[in-house]
Amino acid sequence: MSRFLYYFIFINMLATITTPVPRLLLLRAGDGALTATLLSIVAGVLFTYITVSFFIQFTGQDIIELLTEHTSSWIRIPVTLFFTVMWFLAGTITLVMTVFLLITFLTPLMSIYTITLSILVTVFFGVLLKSKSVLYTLEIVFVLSIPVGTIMFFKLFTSNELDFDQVRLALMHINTLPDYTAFTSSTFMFIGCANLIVFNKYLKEKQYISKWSLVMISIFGVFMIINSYLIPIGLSGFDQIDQFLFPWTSAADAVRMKFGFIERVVFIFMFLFVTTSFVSIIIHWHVAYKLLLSVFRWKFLQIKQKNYTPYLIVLIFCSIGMWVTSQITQNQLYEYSKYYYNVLPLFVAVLFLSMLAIKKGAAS
Amino acid sequence: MKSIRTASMLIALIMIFLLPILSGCSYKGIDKRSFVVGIGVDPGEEPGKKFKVTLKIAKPISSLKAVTANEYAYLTHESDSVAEAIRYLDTKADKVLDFSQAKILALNPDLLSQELFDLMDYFVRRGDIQLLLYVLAAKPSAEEVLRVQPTLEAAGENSLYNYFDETGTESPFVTTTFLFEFRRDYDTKGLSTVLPIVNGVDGKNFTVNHGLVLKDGEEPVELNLLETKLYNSLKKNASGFGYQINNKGYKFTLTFDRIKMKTKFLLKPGEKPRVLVKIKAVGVVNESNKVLQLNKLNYYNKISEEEITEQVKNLFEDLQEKNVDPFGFGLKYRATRLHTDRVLDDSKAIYSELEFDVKVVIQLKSVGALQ
Amino acid sequence: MTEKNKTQELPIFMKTITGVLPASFDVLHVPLAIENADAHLLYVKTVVDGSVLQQTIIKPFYEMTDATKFAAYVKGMPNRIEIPATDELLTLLVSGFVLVYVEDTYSLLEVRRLGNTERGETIAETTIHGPQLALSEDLETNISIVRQNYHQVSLYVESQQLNDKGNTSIAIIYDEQAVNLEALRKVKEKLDFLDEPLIQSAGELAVRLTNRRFTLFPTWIVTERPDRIVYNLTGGKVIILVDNSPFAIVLPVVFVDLMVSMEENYHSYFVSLYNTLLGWFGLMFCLVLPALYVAVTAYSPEVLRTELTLSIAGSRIGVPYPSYIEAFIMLIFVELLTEASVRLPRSINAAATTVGGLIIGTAATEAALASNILIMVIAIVAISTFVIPINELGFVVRVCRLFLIIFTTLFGLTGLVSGMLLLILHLTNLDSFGEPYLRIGWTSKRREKKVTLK
Repeated sequence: MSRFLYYFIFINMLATITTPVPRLLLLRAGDGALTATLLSIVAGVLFTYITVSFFIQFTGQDIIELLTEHTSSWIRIPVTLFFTVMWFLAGTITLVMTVFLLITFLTPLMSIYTITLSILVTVFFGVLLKSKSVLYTLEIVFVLSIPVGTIMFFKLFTSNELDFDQVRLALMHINTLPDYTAFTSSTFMFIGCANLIVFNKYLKEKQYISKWSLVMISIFGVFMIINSYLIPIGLSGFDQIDQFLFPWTSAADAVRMKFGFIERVVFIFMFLFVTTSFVSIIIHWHVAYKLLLSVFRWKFLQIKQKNYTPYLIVLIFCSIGMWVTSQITQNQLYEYSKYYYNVLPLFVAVLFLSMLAIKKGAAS
Repeated sequence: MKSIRTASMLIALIMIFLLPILSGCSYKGIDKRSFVVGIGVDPGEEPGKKFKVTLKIAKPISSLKAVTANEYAYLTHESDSVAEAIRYLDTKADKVLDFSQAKILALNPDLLSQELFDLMDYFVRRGDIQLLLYVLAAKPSAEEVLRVQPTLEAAGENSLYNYFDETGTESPFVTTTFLFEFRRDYDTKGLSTVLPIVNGVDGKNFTVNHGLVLKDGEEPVELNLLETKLYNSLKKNASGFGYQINNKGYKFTLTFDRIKMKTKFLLKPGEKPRVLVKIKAVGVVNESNKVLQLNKLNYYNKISEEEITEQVKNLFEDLQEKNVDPFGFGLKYRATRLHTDRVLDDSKAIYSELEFDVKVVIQLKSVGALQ
Repeated sequence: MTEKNKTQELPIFMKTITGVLPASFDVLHVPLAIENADAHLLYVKTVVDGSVLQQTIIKPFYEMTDATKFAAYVKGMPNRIEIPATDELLTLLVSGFVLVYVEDTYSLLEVRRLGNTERGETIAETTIHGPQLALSEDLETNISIVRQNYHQVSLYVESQQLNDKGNTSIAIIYDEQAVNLEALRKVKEKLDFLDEPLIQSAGELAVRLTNRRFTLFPTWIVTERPDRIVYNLTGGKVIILVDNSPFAIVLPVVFVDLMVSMEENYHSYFVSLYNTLLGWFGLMFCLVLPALYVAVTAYSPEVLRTELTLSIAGSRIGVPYPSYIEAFIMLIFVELLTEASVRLPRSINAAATTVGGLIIGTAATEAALASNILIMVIAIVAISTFVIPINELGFVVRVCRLFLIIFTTLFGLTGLVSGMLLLILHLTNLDSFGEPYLRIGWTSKRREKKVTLK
């Protein structure tokens, strides 16, 4: 597998911290989150395997080209629009969650507009980049986050204050039936490779999918599930975990570096996660923008050999993001994102069906 | 043409450089903030007021070399709720009260016998208060403890922090309880939280060597010196100097490097529930009233084991009698069997009639530098 | 002399040439005559090496005293070229060629007076262990320096003249086997379409070679070190030497190349690794530190330890304006100081630094116009700017950190993260003659050429 594919998958997992996923999981801590997460590992790896092995057959082509080539436009346009909405929403959820996180913990005095603006300025330019540049940025950010990430896992997992009895208590709930929302939301962690639908165009290397890469993905996934599910329980207790609105951040605030330059490690982690969430938003919206661009390319925006449609699309994205962030309440965020995650299986179905259609079209 | 472009670029750049002037109200310079370093909550003295909140505010020192002692300002207000009192105190200070550096939450023991959820939730809910706040029970009152100015305190440090942050004193008598731990343990069914008791002696010194066990719905239980030490060693893995053994005519003091406790529940139908507590400690002898023989280490092990077994068992039974569970036997019970609806109730029922089988294994490595 | 010219009978071609040339005092037409032999020389005195002319042309003429023999001698001279078209002939004449007429044939001989061939010591990029001498100011000497350092048959030198007013000669040098052909093609294309009235130095040429109008990051390196030139030649880069400039341009350059100090090649592995790391740390420090100071003092003091927070708060007692203005003032002051010490003669510049740095720094804290901590921050920043091996990057970083301060002042710590990311995005979006400017190169260049992201 191309190294970029790993970045997609891992960044998506890391960025779940700045999505409502941890809270949705922990809300269900007593009934069925654990089994759901275990199931989601299987589902996620399976999804990765199917998606990657499909795109391997069409090296250097994205789904837009494939759909235009092998299917008719009445399939292509609705499917593309559906994907656009899914990707745009994924980015928006991350955006809103990041803003809420920042306003609660880092800059409580700042206005919500300013914080959103500070994110959107960078995201605006990021989304408009060439796909190749997005890939390079992704790589750089990922590599830069490795040391911080390692410290984070080490600090969290070896924290003195981590109460293993609480963790064990959570593990004892293995006999509950998996919860649907918990399952879908934790599966969201694993579907980073779905970004291939656009980025496959730029991965020209001949790829193959090996057992080891799947094992690596599952191991990293287990790490992230422990990180976003068991660690908060161990640090904040099992019984009242559902009261925390930002369970992971509150848990990370409980870790300290006695002799570090910064005592409260949570800020270092916050840097890490804010950066990954930036990149995650950029990737999601970039995919959405590319998909949308394949459907609309307005002539009237053609000024002097330059088409301004991309700018308009991204501007619309940013304004919607701004509007949503300023309007939504935290409760609504959790409610609506629950719906989003619940729709994920439909997305997977649509993706697989269109893959099937393409394969049929290519074979005939 | 070119010069126009350059000129417009220059103007644009200058505009950008002037942009920060527009930065909004969230811009709060560090010199416009008052840093609260300690929060104290006492019961209200005036009738009808539930709480008396004291804030300890550090005055910034411009040159650390020139001054010898810290200066603090104290603000107090009585109100019905902590939030209201702090809101009011905001108006008393000319700068923004910044709670992000607060590390001490001193609670008056009189408050601790009531339900604590409201009080605790206020501090956890405020995102700007760190969860790494040291919670302590303050005697005689929170305000007095905050007002203590220790003689050993140098400018630029806060000596109360040193007790708890494990970079200064490390003593088995000091229990460190962070806010998140306090909340977690207090909330968890089958576990009780323990706060250190800080005694502000005559406004000049602290003594921190007792613990206070809190459980929702029970009276707080004060642990004595030995009990506090045992709790810290067994539950918090604190180690260090000072385990007195007085058995079979020997009197010596042990220092432990490592102490480990393992528990196992033995439940047989028809019998009383039992728990097997295995404690393993590794250490050396520090002080003795008699000459100690190196080859008799095993014997010393044995007599120390007997003594400590006795102490531990007494502690467990004492706590059980008072229906508090700082060691978390209830939680351990819950954490060792698969979840059913009955586990929680069982754990409560079982703890009250639990029998403790304490097994202590002590490994003395040496008798110190002298026989 | 001119008197004499008139008396001699001129060959017709030479007459026309002389007519076209301006009547400067240094345009000479020298007729040579002895016994039955005669010849004519036409040259511009100030660009021709007089003694070489005397030794190789005039002296042999009088010794041979035979026109046929002298014609044969001239024909065999190594610096002779055929007569080009009149336009070009004129340019050649003003750049140091001598037109010789003998036995009814014209020859053009190069008797150029060489420019400054002396190699000075390295000034801009000094190393402890590397070569101590820089390039000279003469194109041919420089080419020979490169050749002497790089004995390879595959080393190609292409000479070219820019079509500006200076008619500056340049040389494009590359290793034919290693060179990135795509980049080479683009460089040549750019050179051909160059439309600038005057180009005087390597740095100027380098700026004109980029596509974008508003540039911040350099996509080239201007270097004076022969070892860097050779190092980059082996790395497949294109080198452009400019006449009369002691600097060479290295193209195409990506961000990582700017962080390479030549010193690294002269140390053991771990020492050079450590040096590289130092360079990157220096880069990070001088980019982020002032912005971080603003973020911490203005928005998020909770990030720091209590003791540090209180001591920063203490050191800001009495400072009358917000910390970003404080930081701006001190930064700009340091920039002025650096600029001043560049301009000043070397003997005074130590004094300027001392006065500026020490005295004003202390006075500023005494007068409570800046906090102690900020003075420290600024000093660290100033020092670490000089750790960056290539000067151009140092200049860019100075601009970037102002940008970061603005971002941070507006948006706090989030703004800092956002601004840093924006920089990274900008860098990855740039490309230098077809090569992505910033990326992590895991695979070797050769493999990359075969399978690459397109």
